[in-house]
Amino acid sequence: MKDKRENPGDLLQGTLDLLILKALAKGSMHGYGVAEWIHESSQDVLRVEEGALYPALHRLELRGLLASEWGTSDNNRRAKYYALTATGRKRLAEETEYWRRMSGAVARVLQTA
Amino acid sequence: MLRAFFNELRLRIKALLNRKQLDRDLEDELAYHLDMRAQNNRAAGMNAEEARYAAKRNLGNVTRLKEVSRELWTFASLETLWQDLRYGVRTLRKSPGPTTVAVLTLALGVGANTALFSVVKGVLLNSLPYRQPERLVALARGDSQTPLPTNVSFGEVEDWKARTRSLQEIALYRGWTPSSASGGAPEIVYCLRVTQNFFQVLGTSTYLGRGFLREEDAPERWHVALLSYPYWLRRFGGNPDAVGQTVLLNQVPFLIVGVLPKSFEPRSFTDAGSPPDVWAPLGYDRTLPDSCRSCQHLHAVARLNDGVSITQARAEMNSIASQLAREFPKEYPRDAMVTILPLRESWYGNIKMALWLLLGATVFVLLIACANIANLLLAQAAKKRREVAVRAALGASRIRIACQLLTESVLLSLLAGAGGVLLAVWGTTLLVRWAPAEVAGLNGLHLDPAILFFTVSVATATGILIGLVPAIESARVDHREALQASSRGVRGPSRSNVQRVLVSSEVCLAFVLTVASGLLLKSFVRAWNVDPGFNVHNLLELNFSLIGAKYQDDQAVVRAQTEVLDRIRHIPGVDSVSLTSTPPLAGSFGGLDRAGFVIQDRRVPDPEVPSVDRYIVSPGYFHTMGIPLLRGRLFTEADAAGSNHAAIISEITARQVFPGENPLGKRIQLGGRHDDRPWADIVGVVGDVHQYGLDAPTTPQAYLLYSQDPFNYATVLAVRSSVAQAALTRAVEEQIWAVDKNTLVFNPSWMTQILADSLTQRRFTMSLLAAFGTLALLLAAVGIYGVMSYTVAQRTSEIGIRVALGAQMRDTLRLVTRDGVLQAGVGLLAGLAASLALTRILASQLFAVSALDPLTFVSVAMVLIAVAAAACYIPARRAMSVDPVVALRHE
Repeated sequence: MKDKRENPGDLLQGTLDLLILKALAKGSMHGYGVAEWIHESSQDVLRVEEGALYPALHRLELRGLLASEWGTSDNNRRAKYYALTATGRKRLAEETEYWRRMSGAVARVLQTA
Repeated sequence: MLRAFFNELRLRIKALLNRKQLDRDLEDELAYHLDMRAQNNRAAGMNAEEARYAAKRNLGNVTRLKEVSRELWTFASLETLWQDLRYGVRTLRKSPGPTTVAVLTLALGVGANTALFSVVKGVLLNSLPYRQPERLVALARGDSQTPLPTNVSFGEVEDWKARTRSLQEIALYRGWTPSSASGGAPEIVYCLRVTQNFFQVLGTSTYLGRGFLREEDAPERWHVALLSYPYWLRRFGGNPDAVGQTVLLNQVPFLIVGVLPKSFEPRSFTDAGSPPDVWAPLGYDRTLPDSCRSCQHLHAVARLNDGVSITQARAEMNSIASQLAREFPKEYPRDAMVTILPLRESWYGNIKMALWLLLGATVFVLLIACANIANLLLAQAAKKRREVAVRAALGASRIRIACQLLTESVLLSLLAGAGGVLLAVWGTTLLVRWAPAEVAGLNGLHLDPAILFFTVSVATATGILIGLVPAIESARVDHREALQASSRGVRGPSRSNVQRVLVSSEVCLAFVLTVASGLLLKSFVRAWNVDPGFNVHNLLELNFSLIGAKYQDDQAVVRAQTEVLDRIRHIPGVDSVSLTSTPPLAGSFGGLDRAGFVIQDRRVPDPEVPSVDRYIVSPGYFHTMGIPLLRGRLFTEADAAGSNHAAIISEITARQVFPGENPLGKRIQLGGRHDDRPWADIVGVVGDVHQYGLDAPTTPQAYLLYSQDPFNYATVLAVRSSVAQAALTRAVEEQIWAVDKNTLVFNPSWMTQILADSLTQRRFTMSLLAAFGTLALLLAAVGIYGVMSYTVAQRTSEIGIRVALGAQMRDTLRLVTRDGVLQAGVGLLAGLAASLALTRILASQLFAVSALDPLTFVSVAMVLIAVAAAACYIPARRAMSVDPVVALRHE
């Protein structure tokens, strides 16, 4: 078992799903793109464990939150593109709201002396 | 929610149907990711190789990733099961010999168990198809001299009814075989004559029409009939109009008043050749001389009052019997008593023990089969030890490995279960056909769903039980050690204690079963060799009934009987012919006639009025039967014609009733004392005849002359002739019909067959138990052989070294077989101890053999030792004969 504090970039359980949904909110993307987007938009703080990314994508697809489609990438390679489904969009809204409440609550607890 | 579920299912099925596409997609997706990452890394300044490595490092174990995703996409647990199943089938197919043996033995065990359980359930567990059957009892009157009380007399039951408080109702019944002439030769109809309350006692109401009325149960008024459901279908095609029509029985029209329901089980009320088809009121005539108090020719069934236990009823009835014995000292012995048994017990009591015994034997066989299969799987698991260790090292969990081994054994047992069901279907049919008369042909003896369920549970439970042993073993094994152990290592036998215990218990179980079957076999042989008291060879027995109003006159009966005898005597090939009222070795039903033995010069109060079996015979009877004369003389034609009544008694009667006296010339009556009736002089003493079976003790007997004590129920002809049965029967029938063409002729059979039939139950138990015993012995041998082969194979290189170093053949042999012989010995001792304790249960089934018969024990032990030694020796010998060089190169 690794000590959590040594890897500050590790994601909380369940957070990865939320980040993936968010990454795909603005349009379809392939797996690599999702990883890069998370990395960049967190200003290099959050680093997605790439090994965990693909199983997560597949799990979300199986649950009907994502739809996938094979397309051609910029460099003319066969690539799998993921997009949010209607259910996925709804879930994203719910999860975002939930996350806000939770993080707000945690922040308030930490602020009390 | 539901939509999501179906969406997921659709995706999974799509993936399942297109496995290759799924694999390619996973591959492509990850490859694309790696390429992109590498490209990015190069852009950050790494060289090409470094960039690719970094990308791979980032992504982690690609194979593992693909596996995880694949598991996500497909039905992972189902696929694992499928994999295990395929692996299991492959393993089993790799060793077809042992697998076949294992499946077959288990199938035999399960099949035998199911078949016997079907019979046990049908006979002993299902409740009788009457209302509150547990309240029904069978009554019989006897005394300390009566071996098997089964009968009662009409008069005494009237008194019982008046005095009892513990019995609600007592019904009486007796068999009756009239003829029905439906054109052509008269046919026998199996009837039961019952008192009017019979069906109320059983709680059976009619399917059509009504039951008997009280006024119909009277002499001269009883010409009404109820039909059994099958007879109604057979004779009237199930037409409801049958009620109100008549059937002719002995040329008398009987009004059909009703039909009994289909569920009514009549089989056990009679041991005649066939269940009763027609039921008529008893209509008992108390004015007839045969209706005496000690004339017991009826059977009684009664219902206990609510809240009365059978013990209370027994106590009450016995005190009533003693009262009656005091009130009628001429009629009853002082120790008169009433036996009361639950109805089921009275019918199946004889066979109950045998059935439980056989069921126990099949459980033993099943256990041995299980032990064998466990041994086989253990040996296979041991062979796979390295394989399992490698898999464990590669990350297979213990549970996963154990599951796989379990799958294999469950597969094995399901196969065996399927085979067992087939064997059970077949075996049940066979059992029902072979079974003794009490059980054969009972309704409801077939494989029912409950029993099928039982079989499948037994099979699966067996599988899990068996699978657990190697599974637990494999989980316990230290895999590191297994990996390190050199396959060439010369090590002692690495067999588990489990295997030792299995072999020993097999031998133990086999010993118990073989001893039991040995004891039964010996009993059977002893019973078979009992001298029946007469010559059974070339002796045809045949019944005829004279029918018609003219035979109300006794002399007309005697004249017809005499003419029949005269005519048959002249058939070519007939050496001798005679008649009797009761044949020997007849069952207790209808073939039994017991009467009080009253002696003229022993005046009342006479405490010891003994009962004897009464035979009314023609003068030549002893000659025809070959019953030896011991003292005095036989009947002569002069006796038959004269007015001085003569009687002959059997040896036991002479010894018991006239100890130290000369019985010749003593004057007796059979039945109650009636000083107005003639007394018969005892003119001779003849040998004893077995009346109740070869394995039952002989009983006191007395013979009277047919012309002096006429009887007009079914007459039994004994014909000694070497002519073939069919021709002889036809010739005899013709002569009888020449006397009166309406005569009913039935049940022709050779005495040898009757003798064989009298031992049916003994033969049934003995042959089945012998079969199970042999099977157990065989299975135990297979078990020892299998274990020894495995041990020897394991030690082949060791044996090679020993032989190469000059070890003597004999020493090596001893070394190798020592273990097997030791375990067989332990099993033998355990079996001996178990047998000493268990054969006591057998005692009731044995005849003229002690339950601890030393000869049987010793021979069984020797057989088992021989079998075990052979099973050890053969594989050891084979290993010995291997060239040492080959043995050293082994593996």
